[in-house]
Amino acid sequence: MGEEWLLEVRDLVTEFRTEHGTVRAVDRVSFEIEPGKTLGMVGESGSGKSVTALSILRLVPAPPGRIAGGEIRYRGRNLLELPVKEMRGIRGNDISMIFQEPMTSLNPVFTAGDQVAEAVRLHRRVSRSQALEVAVEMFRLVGIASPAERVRSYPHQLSGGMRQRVMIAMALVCRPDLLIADEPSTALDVTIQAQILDLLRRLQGELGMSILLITHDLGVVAETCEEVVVMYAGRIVERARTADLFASPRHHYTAGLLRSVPGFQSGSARLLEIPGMVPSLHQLPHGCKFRDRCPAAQERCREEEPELLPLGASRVRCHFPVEVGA
Amino acid sequence: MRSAEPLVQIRGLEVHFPHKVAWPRVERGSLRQRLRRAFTRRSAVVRAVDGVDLAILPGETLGLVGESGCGKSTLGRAILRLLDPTGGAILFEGDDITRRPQAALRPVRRRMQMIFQDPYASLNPRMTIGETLSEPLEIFGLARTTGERRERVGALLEKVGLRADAIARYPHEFSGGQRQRIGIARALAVEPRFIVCDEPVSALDVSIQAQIVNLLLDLQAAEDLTYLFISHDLEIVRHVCDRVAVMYLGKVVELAPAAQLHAAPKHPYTQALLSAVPTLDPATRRRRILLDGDVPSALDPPAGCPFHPRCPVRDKPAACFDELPPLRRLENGSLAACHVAR
Repeated sequence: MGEEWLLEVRDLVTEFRTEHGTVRAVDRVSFEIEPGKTLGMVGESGSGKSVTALSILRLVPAPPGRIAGGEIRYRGRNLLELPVKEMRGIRGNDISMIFQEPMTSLNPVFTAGDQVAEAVRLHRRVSRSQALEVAVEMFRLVGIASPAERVRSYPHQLSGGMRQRVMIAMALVCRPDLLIADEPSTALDVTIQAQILDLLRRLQGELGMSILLITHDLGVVAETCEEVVVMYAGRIVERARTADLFASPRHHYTAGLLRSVPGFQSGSARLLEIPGMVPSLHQLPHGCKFRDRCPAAQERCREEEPELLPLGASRVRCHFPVEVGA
Repeated sequence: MRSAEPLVQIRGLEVHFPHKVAWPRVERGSLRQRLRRAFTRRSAVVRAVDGVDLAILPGETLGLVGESGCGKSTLGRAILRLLDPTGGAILFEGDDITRRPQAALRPVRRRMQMIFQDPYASLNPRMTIGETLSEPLEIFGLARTTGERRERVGALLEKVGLRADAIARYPHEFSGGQRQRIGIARALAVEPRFIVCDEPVSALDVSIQAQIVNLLLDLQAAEDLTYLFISHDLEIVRHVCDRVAVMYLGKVVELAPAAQLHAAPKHPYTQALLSAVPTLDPATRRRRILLDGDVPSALDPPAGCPFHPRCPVRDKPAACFDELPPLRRLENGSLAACHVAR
């Protein structure tokens, strides 16, 4: 069981202690990633997608954060039970991560090449000059022009798109099997975003890694992922193949999100909106967490929180899912 | 009804910023030459907005799109005289306000307002919403008594869909979408005719963006407003704008009705920009025009057409390399600054 998964997350619970009590940022989240595939994770701010990513790498700041339950199995081993030292060997080597903000993720006082070379030397026994050669090679791989000169540049001398390429070079230098990309193109302009997404696709083809792509942009998901999980208030509310999700979303939140994007609907002047706002994790409603904003909410939604259950080829957390073709 | 007379007209507008190069890198020459060069602070000029002509008609929404650094926000601020233009002219309701001193601008300021991208940074955290909304009323003498002010603030809150009890609360008590509603209410307080909306929904979550876009559309209809809508999001721009101007390196490179711009973009930059937007339909991935490299520096824009180093057009005519293409009308009515576009 579970042999074919590269990563298997089971009932992950991550909590944060705050002034107003403990909140569950991630609540019983389960998903799997197949080798060589891309899983998209979409949701709005506070939906728990970034905390899920940080939990996988055990990078949740503790305190105030705490992984309170569940399993994260990477190649069958539960990462949550690994000694700190072994976990360090996994980070950057087997699983790496790139972040949204390429400027704040790079150290301003070291050259870009030094920072990539450092990642090499953390995991491989090589000399400084050999590591720098690997960095030059990586710069070439991620499409940085004149890589031998660029390794000597400092982050402030690079453009946003270039910095994100450096981050990707750093993340991939040890050829990880899983890349977690947290909003990798959000801070970039559209033409640069297209370059970066194209680069990730190409590198995935060449290196054969799996990608967990976290984004709020449904368009990015539509173009890059085979499968998608949609998160809301710390929970997965829908999980489907990308084509199915966009053709016939089954959760009312997913359907509302798709309808509220201009360009999805044509003609009408007003956009269809989801009323209200994302509930605070401190005051989650009883029952279904989306019911206050849901057009199909009924008495049962107030009383009982739905489970994530199979529906057709998808999984949906809803008592009254959207009809296909509705 | 739209009259032919533009509400805002700008002609050849330039906003140039001085840029001091503090410690230039000097690698060649004798020691003496190198020292002299190293210690000479050369000044350069950032051509943020470089010769823009635009007319905004009463009641319309003109979109201004482009990537970071293209000058779209600078242009928006210069029109409101929040930045001083270094050249060209701005006409508001037919009056030239380009060089009008700040004190004399006051009556004009009541007629034009701005909505900012970051609704948190643009609200004073130590003022209640009531105080924030009363301030413009006091400044312009629009409400004399406290009771009158309360009444008007209440009406503003209702207009933007906030509850009346917001009046005594502080910005941190509100979500991003609600804060943006407050920002909109503040702009509306002085009953302007013209509002520059600078990325008004970019900082908001997808499900909230639609609410704010709808609010802006409703208010425009109810209050007879004219918008300059600055955004990098081409889909939203298509949705809310009547006409769209595309900017690149401080210049307008294409201007067309929104639907036409999306259906038949003429400038190679517009084509690349539109093709880069991820589509929502996984089945029809569009053919993407990938541009090489980054936007060049506005300190040292390329000669000829500013877009030529990244332009995907093959076998470019010589003019692209040494002649600045003027904005000219094409067969379909679009305006494009390109030697090649037909």
